[in-house]
Amino acid sequence: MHPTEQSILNKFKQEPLREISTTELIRAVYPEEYSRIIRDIDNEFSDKKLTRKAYQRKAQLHRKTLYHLNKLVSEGVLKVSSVHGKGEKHFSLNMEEGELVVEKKHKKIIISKPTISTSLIEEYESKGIVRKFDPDGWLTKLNCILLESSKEQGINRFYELAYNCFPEINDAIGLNNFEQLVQSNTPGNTEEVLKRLDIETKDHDRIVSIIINLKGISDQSRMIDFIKAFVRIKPRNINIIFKAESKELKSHEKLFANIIPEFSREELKLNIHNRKVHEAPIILGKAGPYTLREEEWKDYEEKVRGNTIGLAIADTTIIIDIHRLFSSGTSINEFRKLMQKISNVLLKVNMSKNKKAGDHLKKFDELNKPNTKQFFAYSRNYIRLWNYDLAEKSQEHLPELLESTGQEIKAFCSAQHTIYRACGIPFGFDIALSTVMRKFSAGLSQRRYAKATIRSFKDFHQPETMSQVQLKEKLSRVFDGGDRTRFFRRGEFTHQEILRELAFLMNTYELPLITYDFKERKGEIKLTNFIE
Amino acid sequence: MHIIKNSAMEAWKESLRVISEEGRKVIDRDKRLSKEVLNMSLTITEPCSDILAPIEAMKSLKKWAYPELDELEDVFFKKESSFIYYYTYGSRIFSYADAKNQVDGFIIPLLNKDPESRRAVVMIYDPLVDSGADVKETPGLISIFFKIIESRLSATTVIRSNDMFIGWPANVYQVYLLQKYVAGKLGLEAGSITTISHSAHIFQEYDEDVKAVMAKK
Repeated sequence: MHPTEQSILNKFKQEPLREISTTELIRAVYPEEYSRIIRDIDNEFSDKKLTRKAYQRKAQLHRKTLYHLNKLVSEGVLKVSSVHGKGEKHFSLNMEEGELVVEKKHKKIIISKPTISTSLIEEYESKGIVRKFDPDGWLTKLNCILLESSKEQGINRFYELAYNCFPEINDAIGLNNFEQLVQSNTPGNTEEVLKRLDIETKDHDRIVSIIINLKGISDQSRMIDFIKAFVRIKPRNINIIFKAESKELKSHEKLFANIIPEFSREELKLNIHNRKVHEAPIILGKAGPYTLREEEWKDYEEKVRGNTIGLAIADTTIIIDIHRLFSSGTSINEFRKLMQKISNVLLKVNMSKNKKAGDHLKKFDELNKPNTKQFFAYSRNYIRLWNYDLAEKSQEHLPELLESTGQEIKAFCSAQHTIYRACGIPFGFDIALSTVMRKFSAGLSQRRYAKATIRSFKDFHQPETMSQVQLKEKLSRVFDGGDRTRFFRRGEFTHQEILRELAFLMNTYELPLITYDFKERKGEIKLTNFIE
Repeated sequence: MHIIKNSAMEAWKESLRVISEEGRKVIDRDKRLSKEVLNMSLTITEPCSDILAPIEAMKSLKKWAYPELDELEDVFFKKESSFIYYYTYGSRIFSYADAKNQVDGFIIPLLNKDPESRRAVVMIYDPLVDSGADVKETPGLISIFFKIIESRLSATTVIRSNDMFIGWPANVYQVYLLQKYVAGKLGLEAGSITTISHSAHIFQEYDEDVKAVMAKK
């Protein structure tokens, strides 16, 4: 075995669960040489020739190490788990768990990856009914965090903060009260940061939810500039969520007179978070929506805000394909048992994650010290449901079933919390229920959600539509982990009409997040509405 | 109330019986109903005979995920504090206030030097950290006292709030592990374990499970 390969594998032996960057591996393989190079590069007294030479030597080390890394990848020992920044590859062991023996020319290295028993759900996984979100990172990364922005912070520093968090999460970051930053920075600067965020979210395959609190807007023209920049850039992995009360839509009409035509022209989604229904921020990730319980958000606002960079929102996610589950003849009892099994697996994963947090989540410790515990205190795990069709005979009982199962899960979490605390392992363990976004539906069953068509505003009052929205409202209460109701808006309209429709929905129904999707606007000239 | 039994299982079952029959009803801040006995002490004269039996009894109920033995050992012996857990016994015992290894740096040298010492106490509770009205989680275990009696090392632990059904089996096992560790370092045998629980309680929701455990032979 080549000594370079040996050093690489020894690094993974020390940290078998980690995803390790090329640079870090080079540092592990050539510790002295690499630090000499960095010294030469950073030395302000180095002449240009020496610095250039140092860069050349650095590139050589990169090439040499990458040769061996790629060889280990082609042999199936390692895999490229992600590509960051300007194309830097990150590697991880190409195994889920157990032992990996690499033997070459009388040299043998045995690497063990800790076992997390997921045998409880394996049967369902093999049938495509249950799916883990990001199996590679589910023992080492958080699903979602919220970062707090303030006008004193400076948008560049805030960008750096978000950028530093990307490697330790695997789905979404919410940027709370982003209007504060927009209003305290120049439009040019904000646009520049948005462009950089667009690139980084694509490179890291992460989602950013920009949360604009309408209550905090004092400078509408600055916000309009920001919206225009957003529409120009049209960032694929960034969404904006406007947190508002219905009356604030009217008082910010000037802003929406810009947003609505721009968003509809560019087929961007308009997300309105109804603060009156749910105060805690909602973040839209790849997997689905994320949020906190109201009482926890209140607790955070009273006791923690200001002590940390924000808070961890979600740890680990498991998805259930409801259509596949019930079409395979699963009984209600079996469904309850499956939920129990998933809850047990999530507990085990949490325990394993907590044990190794010092290795995998140390960036969050650095950023939140000495209040790191508070940062992690509210994080929950998610069970997400895909493709539930309430019109289906086999699923008509689903809202009641989910409500009672939700209670059982809550009781389980509370009991486990008591048990672990009594045994000297005090940590918060909680599970939320929510839905899956279509973005993450590859490999899951074909979507069969109910649709409703509305031809005019009056149709909002049609019994069929009303009962569908009411059902969605009921489900939103069950989905304590966040829920979104999406309307595909078609035809011609004015911004006043859209605001009127939104205000109606916000005042009539308890839907925490309403999304107007203009993707099908150019279809028929009528108001057509699909609810999912 | 002092219960003295040879084995952990006998002592545990007797404590459950006493609390169930004689405990006073208490509703806590989470509105959970429990029965409580104050200052209950349990002495197990031969803990090594069946120290794991209460944990096995809990696991046999198959209702919850009870922590694995290595998890219980880990939190008691890991020196590094965790930034996820509100506190860990290991860091309090082996690196109190990030400064003091109370076992290797105090108990063992002290008892080596003076086998009759009455000073061999490990403090887990830290008033500077824990004594705040808004502090969310504080350790249940307050202290562990070691005493050499007739060439055997006895251990006495004081527990502030003790869920006797769920927590006690784990607590007594963890104390036993530390007792064995210290005894090993001193070249002694492990002796009796006494737990003194200021609030020894059982939550009402576990009544049926408590009965099931008490019925075990």
